[in-house]
Amino acid sequence: MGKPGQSKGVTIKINGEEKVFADKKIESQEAASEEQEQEHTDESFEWILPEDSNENKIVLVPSPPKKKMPKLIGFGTGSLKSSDKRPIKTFMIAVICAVFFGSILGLIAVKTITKEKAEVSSVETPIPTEATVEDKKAAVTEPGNQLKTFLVQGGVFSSEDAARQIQKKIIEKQVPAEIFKMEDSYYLFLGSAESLAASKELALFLKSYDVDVYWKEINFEAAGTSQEDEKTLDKMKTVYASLAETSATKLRGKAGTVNEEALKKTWMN
Amino acid sequence: MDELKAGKLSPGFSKLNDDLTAAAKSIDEYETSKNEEKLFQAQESLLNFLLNYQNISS
Repeated sequence: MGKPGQSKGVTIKINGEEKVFADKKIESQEAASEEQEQEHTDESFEWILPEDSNENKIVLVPSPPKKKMPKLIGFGTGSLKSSDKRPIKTFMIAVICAVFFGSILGLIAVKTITKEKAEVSSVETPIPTEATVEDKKAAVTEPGNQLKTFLVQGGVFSSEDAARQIQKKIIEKQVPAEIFKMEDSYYLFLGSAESLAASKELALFLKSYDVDVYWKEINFEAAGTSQEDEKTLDKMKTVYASLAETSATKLRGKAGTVNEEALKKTWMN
Repeated sequence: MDELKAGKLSPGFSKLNDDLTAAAKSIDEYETSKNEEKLFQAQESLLNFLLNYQNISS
């Protein structure tokens, strides 16, 4: 360096080998002072690369196996780590609680409403179901002044006003209702059928109109009629029984079983 | 029915006859219209028949 004909630059010794790096800036500044060139020669130094040593080596140390924490099992939580399942379980608990409390509230409401209805109809007498199973068909056409009927009852009331109130509500539901006074009580009847079993079926049909129903056998008796009147009444009772059977059967959605021709003959004789 | 019996019956029995006739008519109308309301009307007429029957007896 500094000698004429020799390229100028930076000489670096790497592991004993000299490498010259030409410096164009130095060439352009050749006119610069020789003192500075002398200093450049002094700046050359030997690079000493560090030897391979274990100090800088990265040693992979296997991490100790993590101890598994015992699972905490309790009501509502399967595990503390399974946080994904917790919302589902919380939701399920909420649903179960809602159903449980809803059922209790519903039962209370139903009991309250039933109690109120019982207070309105003062003397309601439900008919025992055991007796209704027995079919007592064709008892309407008894001889004499008696007329045995099988009716759908909508309630029994101690006062006519109470009966009228319920009658009005039932008629609003497009169901017929008539008040009969019998033995100091007011009966509300909604329909008639040919037998007790048929009146039960008719009652169940009318129940779909959201009315309270019972089925009952009622005897009507005519008094002070002559023999001729009795004959007329007998014919009327027969016609009544046939018409009741036809209308009740058709209302229950079954095909009518009454022979209409035979009915006309009965009436004409 | 009403044509045959109307002239011969007493007023009380005439009402009974009217009720039965009305019931029969409603059932006939149901056969053509298939309207359930007609059957309810028939049932109402039959209940009226029972009501009038009760009034005759009392």
